[in-house]
Amino acid sequence: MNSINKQLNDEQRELLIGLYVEGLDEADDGKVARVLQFTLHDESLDGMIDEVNSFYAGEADLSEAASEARLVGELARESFPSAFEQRKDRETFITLSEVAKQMQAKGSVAKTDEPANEKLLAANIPLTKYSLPEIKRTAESLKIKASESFWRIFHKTAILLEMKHGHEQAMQAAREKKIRRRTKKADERKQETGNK
Amino acid sequence: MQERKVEKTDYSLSEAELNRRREKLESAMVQFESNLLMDIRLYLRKFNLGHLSGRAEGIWHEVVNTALRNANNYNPECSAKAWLRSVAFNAVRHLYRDAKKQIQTTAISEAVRHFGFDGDVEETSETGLFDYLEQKSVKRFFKKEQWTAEEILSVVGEDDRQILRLRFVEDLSAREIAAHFGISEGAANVRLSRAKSRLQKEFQKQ
Repeated sequence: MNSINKQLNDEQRELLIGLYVEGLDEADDGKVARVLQFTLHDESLDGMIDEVNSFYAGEADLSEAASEARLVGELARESFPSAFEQRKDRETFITLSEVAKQMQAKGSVAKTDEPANEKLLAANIPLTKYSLPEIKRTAESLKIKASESFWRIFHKTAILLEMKHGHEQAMQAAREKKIRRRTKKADERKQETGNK
Repeated sequence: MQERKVEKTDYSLSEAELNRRREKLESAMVQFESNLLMDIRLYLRKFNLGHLSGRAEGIWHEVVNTALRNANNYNPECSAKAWLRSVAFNAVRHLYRDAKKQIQTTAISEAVRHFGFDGDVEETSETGLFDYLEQKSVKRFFKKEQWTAEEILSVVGEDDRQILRLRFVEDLSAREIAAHFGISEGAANVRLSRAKSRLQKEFQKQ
């Protein structure tokens, strides 16, 4: 390993971030590894790498919650296809306002992001896609600006809320199916008794 | 000749010191687990190993074991999170190198050769690295008197032109650019780096 000068200046940090982005975009492991060496001694650079990684993760929708939700979604689709058909028919999506309300209830909104959350509370717009870039695009079209961490939490909350919503709908679909089956059985029994 | 330092494992640590380092690492593991998992998924994707993203948690467990086993190599003055991220990156890197060996391709960056740098970025001394980065920095284009800033910027598209103008003509920092566009600093840094890279490539073509 090469010796590392512990004191980096802003210009050097910018050059290193450029090298890191290049390394990721060109799949050059040497460049990424070299930049990561500098993060060990430079907290600011480490923070900048965090920001860059979050941006990439948002771009590719790689957050843990998104991956978990995707996995749960896939499994649920495999196990309960009928519940999802039902969901499609109903076209009921959670809204920006519902997510904002949940954020407020959980106390997840930083003071500086409160004005943005206030605006979102009034936005009764359905969320049809749950990726972070899509959420940001929708908010951008409404001229709502908030910090990166706010959007990350908002994204996670939206996914969890959607999962809960989906679960409730699947349960409702199952309940309805059960009632239909019972009614059918009762009708059949009635018919059998009538025939006798 | 490049100056190289060989990192030596410190076997002389007392049990108490080793435990202190492990505790620091464990606390960072708990605190940053989801961030580091996200980083692993990102590296897998960026290094064409997206098909292994289902193994991200397995890789994370490997990282935890490796880190605790090698806690004696961890310098407690360094950020534990940054160290764990390096360990995580190395785990992905091993997979990447294995995959690369299998498909028999050379991944030595063509871009690096293109800009006249034949060395290995990773093996270069710090001074050498910054000399190289400054030499290929797009800033040098703007310092030359033969072109106006607008002539330089005319070789790239409007989006790149806008962000490069803010950086090199208006002299705004990435943070200020982020505030200008209402985006995160990370997004500003990525956009800026990509714009610089495209500008360099356009200049190479001309």
